[in-house]
Amino acid sequence: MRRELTELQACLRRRWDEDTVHALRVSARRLECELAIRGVRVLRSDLGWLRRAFAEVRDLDVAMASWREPTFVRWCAARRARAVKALARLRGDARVTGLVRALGALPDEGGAPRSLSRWRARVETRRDLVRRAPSLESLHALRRAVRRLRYGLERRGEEAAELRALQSALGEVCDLVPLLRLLNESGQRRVARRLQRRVERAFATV
Amino acid sequence: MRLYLVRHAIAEDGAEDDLRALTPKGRRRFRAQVALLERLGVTFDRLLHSPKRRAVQTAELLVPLVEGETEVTTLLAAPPSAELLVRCVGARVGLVGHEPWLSQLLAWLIAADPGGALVELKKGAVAALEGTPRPKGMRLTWLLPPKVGRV
Repeated sequence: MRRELTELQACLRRRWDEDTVHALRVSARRLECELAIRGVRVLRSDLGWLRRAFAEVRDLDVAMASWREPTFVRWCAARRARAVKALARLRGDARVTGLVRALGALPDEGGAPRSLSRWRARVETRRDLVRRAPSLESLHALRRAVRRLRYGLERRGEEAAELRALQSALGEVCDLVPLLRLLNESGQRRVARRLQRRVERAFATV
Repeated sequence: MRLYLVRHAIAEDGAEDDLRALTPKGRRRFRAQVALLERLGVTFDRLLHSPKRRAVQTAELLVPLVEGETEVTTLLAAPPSAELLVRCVGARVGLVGHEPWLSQLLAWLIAADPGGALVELKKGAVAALEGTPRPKGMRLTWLLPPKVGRV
């Protein structure tokens, strides 16, 4: 937990480039996972709030990396700059500084770690749902369940290579959701429709 | 709106103030206080709490009464401020904090006297206020000392 907290603090201080924003969101998720394993319910909504605050910037970074058409990239970069400027209020914000301070004040180890069996069961449920009704939404739900279980296993020092690979593959598909949204919002609707049709055809063949 | 001021439960003594944890007795007694609040039908849309360990642990015990989000803020580990009042948004908001700041906040809200100490909040006590969260904008509706929860 100390390592993730140190990482989160460092990310909050640094310039919010693509890697830093990604690392910030990952460390927030890992801390949420750690608190869930310990059975701590407070502070998780603060971490979620912080993570969501950076979601738009992350979506734009992913979109720019996925669709490199110059007009779209320029549109995304301008929007990203505005989003980062708006996030400047978070530096020194009472909730952010409180979150870091509270996490630093928690005991190093807390309570008996909860079993991960519920998280394993959730992965299976979500996998069944993808098999029965494949869609971007069901894949996204599976991705979240896989990520949580992976972080839980890694926190216990267990290898989770298979889950990591699955999470990465799911990530590539799920990243299409914000890409489609941003393509539509930027006015590139024809490209968005083409991409949407390709996704639908892919699901029809699953 | 209803505003509930909650002082953290009994905590151990310690050199570093942020790290002082609740004692087993503090936890036991505050659980009784939470059970009483539940019987009184108290719930929170939002529960704001200080980042100090004893306040975080007190907020954790209040989670069963929270219907919305919890929020940590350094504004509850400092003298009462206008910025804190701005964050009191909702119909039923709980604030978990420390003395003397909670008593000062209470005096500020009911008598516009931030330096006053009209009511002393014991550890684990809860004060319920009604009105608008601005100086002299609220009235004290009840005060629940920790002893009541033990009866």
